[in-house]
Amino acid sequence: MAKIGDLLVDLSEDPRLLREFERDAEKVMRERGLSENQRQILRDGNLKRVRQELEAENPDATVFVALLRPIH
Amino acid sequence: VPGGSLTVVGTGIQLAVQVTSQARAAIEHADEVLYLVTDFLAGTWIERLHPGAESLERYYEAGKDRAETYAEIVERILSRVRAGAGVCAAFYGHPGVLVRTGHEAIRRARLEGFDARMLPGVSAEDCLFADLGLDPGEAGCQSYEATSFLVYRPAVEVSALLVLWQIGFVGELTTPTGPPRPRLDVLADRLVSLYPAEHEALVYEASPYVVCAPVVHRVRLADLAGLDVPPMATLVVPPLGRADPDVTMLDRLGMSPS
Repeated sequence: MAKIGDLLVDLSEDPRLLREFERDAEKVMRERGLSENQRQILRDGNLKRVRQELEAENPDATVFVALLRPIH
Repeated sequence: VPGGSLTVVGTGIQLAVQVTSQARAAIEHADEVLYLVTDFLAGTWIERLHPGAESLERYYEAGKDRAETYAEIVERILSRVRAGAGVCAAFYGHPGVLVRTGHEAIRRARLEGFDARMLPGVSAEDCLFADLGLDPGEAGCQSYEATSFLVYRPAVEVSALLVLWQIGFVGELTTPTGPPRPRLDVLADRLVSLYPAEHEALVYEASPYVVCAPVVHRVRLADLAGLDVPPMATLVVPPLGRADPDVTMLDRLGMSPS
């Protein structure tokens, strides 16, 4: 099954893909085989929801770590 | 000069797109890469750039004192430098902004006679200025880690911008064992002693992904205590008006008031 995490990394790595996504996100998402639910998450662009989906895609990984900065 | 070396770099906040070409080259060409990032995908990306890169996240454990974590991370980085490797240590954001381990690793490596340098990166503060349309040069800017702000009570200039980091963990000294319970009530009390309770601040979190907007919520300082804030949220308190010019100084500088 296609993962939004893979698309997010590819979009960040490939300026041409990012340009294509900005021009026609629906086409890129369809070509990547994302489900309607995954496509809606990316359309909404809600950070909390994207993190929840990444957690669902990677149940064995810590998707987000709050790295606390030092207290002086 | 001993054989090992250290280059400390920042990966920026947004996945892959905010790394400088210099930092990227340092990651790609190092003998060994050790990294500390908040985001799982950023780790995936670093390991694509440098297969075998080692995450330092394992040193963060629930309930563990942060100072102990920092010491272990610095020691791990130094151990690889001492072993003779050209090490790249990559940190989320800017490696020298609110990253004690980045500075400490450089300091100790140099003390032990190794070549060590830091390359700048895009910090969360850089993203904040861009996303919120704020210029720190307009009225000045004060920037504090939120718990330090409460504990050390610095003098606050209300006519300048105030930025408080890590409000999602204010009052926490260890890595939380469960969901964080930030003492926003204490922070609100301190801020309301400085600003009107109605003064509006912004809760902000930069977006790590190109497809997501940053988190931006407006909140009155009086309502801060009850707010559910994202873990890495920052509080931005806009200036209260403008400072009055010093007429004597204007006169001395030969300037007229505008």
